[in-house]
Amino acid sequence: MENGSDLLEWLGPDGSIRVFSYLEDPADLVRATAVSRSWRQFVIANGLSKSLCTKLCPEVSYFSGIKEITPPCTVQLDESNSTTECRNHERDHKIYTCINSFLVSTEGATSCISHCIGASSTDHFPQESIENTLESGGVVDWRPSYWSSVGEVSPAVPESLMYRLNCDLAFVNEIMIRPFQEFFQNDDRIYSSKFVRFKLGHSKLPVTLAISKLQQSHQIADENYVWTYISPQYPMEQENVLQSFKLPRPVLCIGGVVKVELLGRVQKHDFNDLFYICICHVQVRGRPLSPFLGADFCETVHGGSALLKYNPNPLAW
Amino acid sequence: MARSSTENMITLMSSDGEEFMVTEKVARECTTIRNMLEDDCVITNIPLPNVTSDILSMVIEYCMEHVAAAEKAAAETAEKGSSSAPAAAKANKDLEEWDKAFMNVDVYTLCDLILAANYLNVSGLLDLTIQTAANLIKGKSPEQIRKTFHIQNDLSLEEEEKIRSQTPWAFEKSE
Repeated sequence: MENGSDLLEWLGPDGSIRVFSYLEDPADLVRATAVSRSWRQFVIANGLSKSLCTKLCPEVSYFSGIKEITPPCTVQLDESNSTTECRNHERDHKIYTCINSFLVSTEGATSCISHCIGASSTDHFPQESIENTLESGGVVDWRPSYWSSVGEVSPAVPESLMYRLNCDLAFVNEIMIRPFQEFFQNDDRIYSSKFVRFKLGHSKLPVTLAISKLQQSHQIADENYVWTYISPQYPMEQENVLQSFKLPRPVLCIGGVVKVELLGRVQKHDFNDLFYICICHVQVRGRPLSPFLGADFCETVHGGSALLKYNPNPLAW
Repeated sequence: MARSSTENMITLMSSDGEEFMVTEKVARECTTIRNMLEDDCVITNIPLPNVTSDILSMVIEYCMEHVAAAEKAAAETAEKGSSSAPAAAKANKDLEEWDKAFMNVDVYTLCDLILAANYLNVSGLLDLTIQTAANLIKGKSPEQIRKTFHIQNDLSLEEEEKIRSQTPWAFEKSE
């Protein structure tokens, strides 16, 4: 600019940071790093990618730090403190730019449930177990396949289904649910819930305990989980289709646990005049961040925070 | 309503020695000056060594326009008992249009205005100028940004290519 100086010098660090903080599209920030060395340096040294990421996706602030996975054989180079700081800024920029890229486009989402953790109740186990909700067809061995809650007198009693995703860090775009329609009765009743709500987060239980299938009620108890995101409540239709519940934006699931809350009952069973909720199929659609990024809870179980695990080696990205 | 005759006048002096007489109400739009007046209520002459006359005259123009708009809205409310929503919306829109036209300046002036708005602490003007500067970056290619801000590209071809190849998604939609 005037006298050969740059906008950044002209406005000073505070003014420049203010201008950059008005950028809302991660692509703008990346393009700014391609303007000149001083712009690139400015964006990286001030952690602007992380600031924007925290603004667009507040759950990332749950991470208290970054844990870099280095192969055991690498020799730690004897570098000065300023070089380490520089390297860390570059690394953080790379990591948060990667996370930001998931917010720019929602393409490439796949079904990402790995297995079921448990249901709040099950009417007939195992015929009506939560495991059936992983089948999309609705029919297994010539029999309808679905999960059924126990019957309740009050329509207000909620139910929940809990699933484990195939990685501990993923962006979740939408959750799809198909309620169960009964074929036997003349009027083909659909046992949907009034509303649904989703909680994303991680288990506080030690890994060994989380795997055992014995204490199901213990496993799905809310106090054993930290929810880093709770969605708004969505109305559910009493319709036998795979209903899509899109989250307001892609949400980072830190810890790979998704809880589907089924709030309010709408359908009674003729047989005993009790309210039931029955679900045919559940799909969580999202994009895993592994193998580059993961979440590490081992060292901070009691602190209610996690480390963002960064694996620089699997591929160049 | 005898207002201007009884209102205090303040003299603001730019870095190049030019004097600007403004009403106290207009001067108070600048939080920095408002604080000075609250500390010392007899002050009538304020030197502003960080602001040149051409920039100071623009800041004053902005403050006068916004004070006038606020007064007009207050007068309408007083007259009718309550402000009508469509009239208020139109007034807001008019002021927005005025702001937009006011921001039709070159980047040097824009930067000077940002610095002056920051120094004088005129929050509305600071927001407006920062937003305008950010709009010059939003959706633009690196080449366009360099041109707007007269920046020399000192990245090597390889460095630029590396950024583009690592983050192709950021270069798909720019103008």
